[in-house]
Amino acid sequence: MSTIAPTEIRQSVTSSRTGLDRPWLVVVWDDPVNLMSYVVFVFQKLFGYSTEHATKLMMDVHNKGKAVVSEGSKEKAELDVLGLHKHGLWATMQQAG
Amino acid sequence: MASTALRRQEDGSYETSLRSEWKELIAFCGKEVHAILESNSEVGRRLTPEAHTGDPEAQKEFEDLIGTELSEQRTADVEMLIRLPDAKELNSEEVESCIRGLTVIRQIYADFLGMRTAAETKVEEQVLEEAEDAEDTEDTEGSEDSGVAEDAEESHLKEYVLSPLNINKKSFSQPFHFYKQIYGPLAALQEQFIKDYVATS
Repeated sequence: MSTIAPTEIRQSVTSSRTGLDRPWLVVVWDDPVNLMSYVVFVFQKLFGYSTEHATKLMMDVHNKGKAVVSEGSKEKAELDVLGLHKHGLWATMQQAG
Repeated sequence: MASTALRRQEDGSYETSLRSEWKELIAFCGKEVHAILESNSEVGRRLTPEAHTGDPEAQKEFEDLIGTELSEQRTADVEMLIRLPDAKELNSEEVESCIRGLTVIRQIYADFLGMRTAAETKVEEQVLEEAEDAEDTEDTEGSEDSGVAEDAEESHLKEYVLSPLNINKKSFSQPFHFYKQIYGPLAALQEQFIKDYVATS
């Protein structure tokens, strides 16, 4: 019985990342309605973030127009987006580039 | 407005310390917004943001996944506000529902006022000021009576709710003016709810 030696396949780190293993990012966008205190409250409630971290993310949304607030599997991102939408925040999801 | 909107009681429940006029005004706004949500109008649909911008297929998949969960939540939150005048005490879930419900009302009123994106807001603020000035000019030129018959509920609100809250009586005959006048106070009220709730929960 003959055996075939395994061929070593070398790929760069970036090219080995397929669409399946790239995390999904949840992005919250600035909007004209939601209060700063409300956005901090929602981030803490949904994600369990500290006041400091939630406030930093809120300020990013306010000053930069958007912030990535969570990441993970597609299913987790969908749940996070739904939770944010239920609280009236404008959130989208996208796969990390 | 009271310096506090909520008080936590010894048993962990919350009591609203709002004046009855505020509760009635919130309930009125809640009823109005509830009717809009139930009508499935364009305004209500604008409340639902896209999860996948620029990818209609993924967006459709997401909408199929969430079904009616989002709209049901919004309706339930607004219904909580409608019940607020009769609520003796609130549990944590009900307080959070009130806070979310105020967001729904403010989002719809913001839409009425043309405030749809953060970038537009500064421009819109200017437009609002100009529109208000124009309305004030019209008021000085004509009578406050619009000639539109008002129902008993509006009449009651004008006399017993809006007037004590110093909200101009002409509001109902000029909806834009009404939304402009109460948008800020509703935001302040929501801020107070959040502050009191976070401080005591």
